[in-house]
Amino acid sequence: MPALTTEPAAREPAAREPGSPQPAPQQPVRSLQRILAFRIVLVCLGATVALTAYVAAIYLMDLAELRQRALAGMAASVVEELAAGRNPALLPPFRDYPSAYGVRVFNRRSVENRKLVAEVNPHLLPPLTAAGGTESDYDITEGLAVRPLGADDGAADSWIYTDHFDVKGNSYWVQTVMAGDPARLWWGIMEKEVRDHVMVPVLFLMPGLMLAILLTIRRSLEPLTRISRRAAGLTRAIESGNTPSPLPVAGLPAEVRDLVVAINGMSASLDQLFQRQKQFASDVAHELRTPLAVMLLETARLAPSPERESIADEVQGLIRMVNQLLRLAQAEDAMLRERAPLDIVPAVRRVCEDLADRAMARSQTIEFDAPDGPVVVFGHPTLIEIAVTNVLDNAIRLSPRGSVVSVSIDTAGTVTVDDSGPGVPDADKTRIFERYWRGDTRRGGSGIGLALVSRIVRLHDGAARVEDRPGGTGARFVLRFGPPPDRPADTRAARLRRLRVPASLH
Amino acid sequence: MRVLVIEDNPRLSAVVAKLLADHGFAVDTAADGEEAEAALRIASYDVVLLDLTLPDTEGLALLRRMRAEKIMAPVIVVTARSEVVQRVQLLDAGADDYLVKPFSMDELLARVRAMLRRPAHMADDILSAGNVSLETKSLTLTIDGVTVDAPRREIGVLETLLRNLGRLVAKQKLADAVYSLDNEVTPNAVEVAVSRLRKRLQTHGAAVSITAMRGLGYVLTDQCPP
Repeated sequence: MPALTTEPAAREPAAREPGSPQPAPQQPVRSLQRILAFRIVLVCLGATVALTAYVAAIYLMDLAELRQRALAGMAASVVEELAAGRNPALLPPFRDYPSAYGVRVFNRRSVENRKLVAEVNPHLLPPLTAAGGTESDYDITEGLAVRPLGADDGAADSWIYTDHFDVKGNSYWVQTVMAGDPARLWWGIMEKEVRDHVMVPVLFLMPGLMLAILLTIRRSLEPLTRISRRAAGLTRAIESGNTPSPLPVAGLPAEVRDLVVAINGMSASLDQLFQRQKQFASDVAHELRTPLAVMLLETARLAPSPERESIADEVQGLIRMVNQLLRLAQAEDAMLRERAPLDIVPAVRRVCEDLADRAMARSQTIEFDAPDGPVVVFGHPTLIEIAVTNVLDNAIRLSPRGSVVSVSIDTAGTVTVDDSGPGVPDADKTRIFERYWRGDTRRGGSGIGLALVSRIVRLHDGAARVEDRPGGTGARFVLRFGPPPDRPADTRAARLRRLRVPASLH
Repeated sequence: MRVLVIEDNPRLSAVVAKLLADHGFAVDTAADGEEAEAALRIASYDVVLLDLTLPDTEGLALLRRMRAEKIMAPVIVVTARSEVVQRVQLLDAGADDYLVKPFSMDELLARVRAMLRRPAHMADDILSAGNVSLETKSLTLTIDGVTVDAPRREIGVLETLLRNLGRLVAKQKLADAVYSLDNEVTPNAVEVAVSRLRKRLQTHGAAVSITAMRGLGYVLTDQCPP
């Protein structure tokens, strides 16, 4: 019953719900090996049928031969019956068709000395000693022969056959006769021929042939299966940002080689495109830095004025934006790489040391608090550094001169940055992490930085939030990074599973 | 004080040259590696500003050639790339400092001045900031013209801070300086040395101050404490 209910649903894709994410169920993917084996078996069966038909046709084209073998067969079985002491009249053709089949057995060759041994349906036969003396003599002299009976009267479908047998030292002559073939004896002969010369050999050959075919198919397709396994590695390499190594072409059959050469070409140009794109983003950012340096230095040489301040502010904004774009490009690149267990403390310390100069320029100091030992999170150092840089950079920019910016890491790997800036109004506390949301335009910012922070933190199975700084004005940014998976469960299989996680996240 | 600016972008080269000239430096400019090498052979410079991307050669290669030819003038590499790996490479290749584009006038002047304080060619071995100076060979500390006695450990800390005037010195770097002088140091030896040095500088009326960045390190500035 279940088969009945599922089948129509499977056949009618229109009946599926429209929101279904999967495309209409495709035909099950069958292996080339199975398809080939199935088709070759079909061809073999077809060949067997053709062979049977051929054999049958050959026999049908030579009816005389069939007829002779039918009569000879009949004679042989009569002798057999007599030798076994049974009555040949009970044989099916004689019994069932008395007007069509007959037999006579006699003991002497010469017409005069003939003595009848047995006779069935004698009315079909010429008289024992009479009919066409010379011709009979001829028959008997020649041994076996078939000739039409009563050639003159047009009963051309009646045939007589004479043969000689030795049974237990005695010599016998057997004449069989048939008028038409209502018992379809020749059909039986043909069947036997087909069975003996087609079916039996085919049955004997088939298992060996099948085995040979399967082995040949498997062997021939081996390079293809080998290559397709390697091809999966290509995709992984491109996904993880590595240059894919070309698939080996040596030892492949021509058709597969063309395919592999095409795949290699495609993956190489895909990789080039990837590299160019990556290079482009970072080149653009770098190219912008030189003119920005010129602008920054030129404004410094202008006489102090409100206009100079305004231009300087804009240049600073541009510089920040270029830095953000560069970090975004770096992050995009790093996101493709695999994460690993990592001590977050030195990564965050590096960021603080890098930005210390900027803080000093604003007479600010940075405080850094971290546990003594390593704090291990599961992540990528470049990405974590970019996220913390973006938050700390904002904190330094928005805090007043001479203030302190505090960065701390707790034992769970959560990074907290406290500033003394204007803080973030409650209404904006979630929107601030959205892309291109810039809040108060006076504060500047490209709307890229915190969105990138949020993306990086989510990629690390963590979360980013902003709250009011406890006990004072300012904002507190909290970046939580996911911990490494539990140690006890850290089997090789679990590690491999985890390593695939980042790739599936984007 | 003579500065060579090696920069292929004519506008940046011109504005840097003008700024340095405004502040009393004698400035030469070179637009490519060939010009730079010619200039370096003729004159002796106190500071070289080297852009990494030059039309005819890699800045890094030029730097290596300079060092191979025993041109020991302090080199500040100017780069548009800020990757950590590259900075390490630069310092390994013999750069004394680096500036990431775009840089402000203050940053530029601070770095150039910091270079001038360095004992280049090992002849000039006096480090100074404000009214404090330290002779690195005899380890003589002078504050406002008066010689002050100080333990080796404090001198070691001060020397490291003076060499990095205005910039954060990681605690580990100071610890290394102290360890190299004295192998019996307690875990908080750096804190103790810095706080004693700070007191000593204060008592002798030094016009410098040491700012602590908790968990990171210390910065010596030539501004008086507020």
